[in-house]
Amino acid sequence: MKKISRKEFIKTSAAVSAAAGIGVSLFPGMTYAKNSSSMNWHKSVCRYCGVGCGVMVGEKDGKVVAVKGDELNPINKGHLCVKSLYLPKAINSKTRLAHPMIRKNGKLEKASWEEALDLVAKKFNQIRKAHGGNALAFYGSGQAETEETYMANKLFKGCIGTNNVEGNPRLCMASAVGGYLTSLGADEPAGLYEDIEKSEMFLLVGSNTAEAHPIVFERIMRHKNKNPNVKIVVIDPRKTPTDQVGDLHLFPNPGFDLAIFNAMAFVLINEGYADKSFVEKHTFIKDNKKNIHTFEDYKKFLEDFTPEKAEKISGVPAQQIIKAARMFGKAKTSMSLWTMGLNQRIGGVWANNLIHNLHLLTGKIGVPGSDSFSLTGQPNACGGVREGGGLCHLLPGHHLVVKEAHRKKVAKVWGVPASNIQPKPGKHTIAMFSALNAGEIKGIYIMCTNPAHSLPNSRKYWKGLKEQFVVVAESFFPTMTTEYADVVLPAAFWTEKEGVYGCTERRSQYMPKVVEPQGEAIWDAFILRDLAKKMGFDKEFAKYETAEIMWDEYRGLTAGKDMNLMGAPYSRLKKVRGLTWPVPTEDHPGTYKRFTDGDPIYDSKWSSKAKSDGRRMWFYGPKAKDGKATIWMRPHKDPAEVPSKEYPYALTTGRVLEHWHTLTMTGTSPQLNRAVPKAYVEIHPSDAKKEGIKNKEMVLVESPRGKLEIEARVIDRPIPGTIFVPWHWPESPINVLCNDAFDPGSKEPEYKVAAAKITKA
Amino acid sequence: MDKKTHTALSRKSFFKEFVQHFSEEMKLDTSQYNEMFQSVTLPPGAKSVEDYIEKCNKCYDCVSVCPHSSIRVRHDENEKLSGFPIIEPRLETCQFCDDRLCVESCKTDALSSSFQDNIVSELNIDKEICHSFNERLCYTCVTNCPKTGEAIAMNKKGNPEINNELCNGCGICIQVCPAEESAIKIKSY
Repeated sequence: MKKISRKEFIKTSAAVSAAAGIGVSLFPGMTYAKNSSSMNWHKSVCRYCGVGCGVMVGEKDGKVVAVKGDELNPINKGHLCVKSLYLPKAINSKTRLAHPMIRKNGKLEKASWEEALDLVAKKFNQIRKAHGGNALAFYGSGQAETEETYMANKLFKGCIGTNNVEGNPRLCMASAVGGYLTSLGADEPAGLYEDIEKSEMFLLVGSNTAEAHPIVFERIMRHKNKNPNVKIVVIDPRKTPTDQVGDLHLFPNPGFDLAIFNAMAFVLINEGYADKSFVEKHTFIKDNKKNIHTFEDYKKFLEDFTPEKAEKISGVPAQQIIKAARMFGKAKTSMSLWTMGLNQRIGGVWANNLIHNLHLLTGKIGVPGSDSFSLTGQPNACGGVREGGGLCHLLPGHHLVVKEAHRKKVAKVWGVPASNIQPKPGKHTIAMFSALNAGEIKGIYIMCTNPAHSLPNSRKYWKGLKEQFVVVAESFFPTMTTEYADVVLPAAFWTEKEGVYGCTERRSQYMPKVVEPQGEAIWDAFILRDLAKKMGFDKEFAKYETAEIMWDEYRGLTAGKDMNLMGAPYSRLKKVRGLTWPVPTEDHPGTYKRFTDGDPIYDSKWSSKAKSDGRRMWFYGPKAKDGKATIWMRPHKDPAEVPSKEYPYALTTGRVLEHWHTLTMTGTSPQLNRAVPKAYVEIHPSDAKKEGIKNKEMVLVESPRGKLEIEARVIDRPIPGTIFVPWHWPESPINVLCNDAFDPGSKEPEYKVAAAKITKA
Repeated sequence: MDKKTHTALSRKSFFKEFVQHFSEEMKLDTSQYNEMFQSVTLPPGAKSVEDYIEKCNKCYDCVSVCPHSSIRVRHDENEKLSGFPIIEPRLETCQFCDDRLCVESCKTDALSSSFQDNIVSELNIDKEICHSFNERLCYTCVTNCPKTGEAIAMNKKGNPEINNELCNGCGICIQVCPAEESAIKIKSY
């Protein structure tokens, strides 16, 4: 019965739209996008997530009026998600900050650039003189351009002399970096998105791909539609739109999934899916103490993680774990994709390791269609911060502050004494904001991010922001962070500046300046340059007249590194749809697979050695030895906060498709606000019944760190015992409740699991 | 056409007639189209448009008791529901609150408790407007639908697809649609 009516209905709707097609346009407000003749279109990159979709920016009379997909871009082939369509609204929003502001008598007041920068320079120099460089800090962003982060790095690490340089990717990608370095020896995936169309099986873990990385999801979906035999396993404590494509969904209790990955390895070995010769030739098997073990030891270790034992830990039926492992093993090629669900955990690096294990164990890596592929949250977290060295232990171009040779090399390029760069890593994000609380750090420069909203347990860190000297460079005003700012500097926004974004798949793409910055806004890199000059680093910053000069200098630092970008000057990037490093020369097309045939580094340095050893891959990364990757024997680890009698629910957070981070951009679009106007807490109907909560009722969600009044959405998306809140709205900042306990390796906090209770408001 | 009951059968026959009507009258202009699928529904408890128009005495009690201001008066001279209490989901949807004060307040049986769990309606997606059918990934309607995956699901192409059998006409999809004009149209019958 249902079927017939649906069929009828489709017929009907086809007729209706045909009829509508005859009449006038039903696209009010959108006509300009179709009428492209009088517009100039510029090739660029989407401002939002880490997928890195190519966009065409439509400019008319000096104003950005439309954004559409770039059909020639290999990532999205013209498709976009709904957010990007409304980007012009963010550019032209009334919430754009037009002029610098200085806090006077507790109130932010309009100021001139001269006055504002003088004040910041004076204050920073005072602090530096009285308390040393380490009393200053920089907190950047995976949304800043590589050039911007590069300027900040030079100013703080090279000139001021502090390694207190961090960025919000610490909160989202650090565990993935740790995972790649410890497992494969080098950061960032070995493959590219094009593996999607070549893969027979997908393991989506801790990722609501459909909402957080929509175009990647669309590619997976299209691929599955064309090839119905493709299998997809989803591991997530919540039902999400991603399930649309899933063949099997495993629902672990939040934070209890490590045992599942070990159990999958157990099944893979026991049922003969392991590629023993690959394991032997290409990997070490190590335990937590880095002792090397045999395959037999590993098998023995896994006996603690039989599917039945994993069921007890994770709550996922053993049969489902076996089924998932079989799907992974049976498929000729498998691809794992994951994001915050694995990374934002105190066991984040371990969880990443365990996913890499599955691929190393079965040899499903380094061949088309097989890869362990971490999805990045922000558009330039990979490019600007991971590659650009925007974290406290890094220097640009995959260099490390602890290595003397690296410090010397970078200092020479920067034109500063090598002794300026401290040999010890600075403070990681949570330590940095704790030091701000404690008064150890007395001045901080925050660029292109909103930590007062986005930090976990954020209320705790408002104290330091309130008490210390805070400079915020931001395109939008107000934000939760500008509330604590002593100086706010208006930054040019996307399309008002040129630069490079590097997305998830190692692809660096160029973005042109299309329009002039609004109001008195200035490009972040120039603000930093001018500030540096005012602080007395005239000589060091005199040469940075254009973005290209900065990029070329940075590019030079990547020569000979695993992330070689020498073949990617602006002149080339302006023509192509990005280049995937390593790209050593200007005639090199970019690399598809790392560590194997076709990778220029492998081909020139390691290929013959590998072949004589009978290997097909050589893991040449800085953390790998003898060209081998590592299979880690990682035991289970509970989340930092396990639901208790007082706080019986596991609170987890995430994104929705329509919004982005702290709403500074998507909040400017009435259409997106209409779509998802406010925060809500998803609670399973059985839990709602138990707590006497009705749909749309106001409830109180409480964790040991704070409480929040919020609307209930009674729906069977989260599993019983779990509640979910999207984190975008400043009126309902759920991050106040999140746990700031962090992974000891990656220092990435555990946003994804907190104990909470929920009661009627 | 039998409109007395709210069964699948009657709906099927309605569809048949509807499709036939369209295939004959393909030259319908947009204004006529708009009239067929507008963004207005009857309040919960109404049996059919005909029945409602016949029985409602325009006392507007339902309008005044609705705690969510979802029920309002239709102001459109050219329309047969003009002057009657209706719901415009784009402005405010019916929340299907437990007490159904609107149904309780109705003294004429225009709104009757035997129909209060559904708003008699058909939904339709305008593919010209819908982002999803125009290479812009969007599933706002799917994720917001209280019966997600049932009343509206993403089909294999990633486009939303409505199942009117399972839809209760709450109109949340119409309210949240991020297109300038809601791509989802609703119609009471």
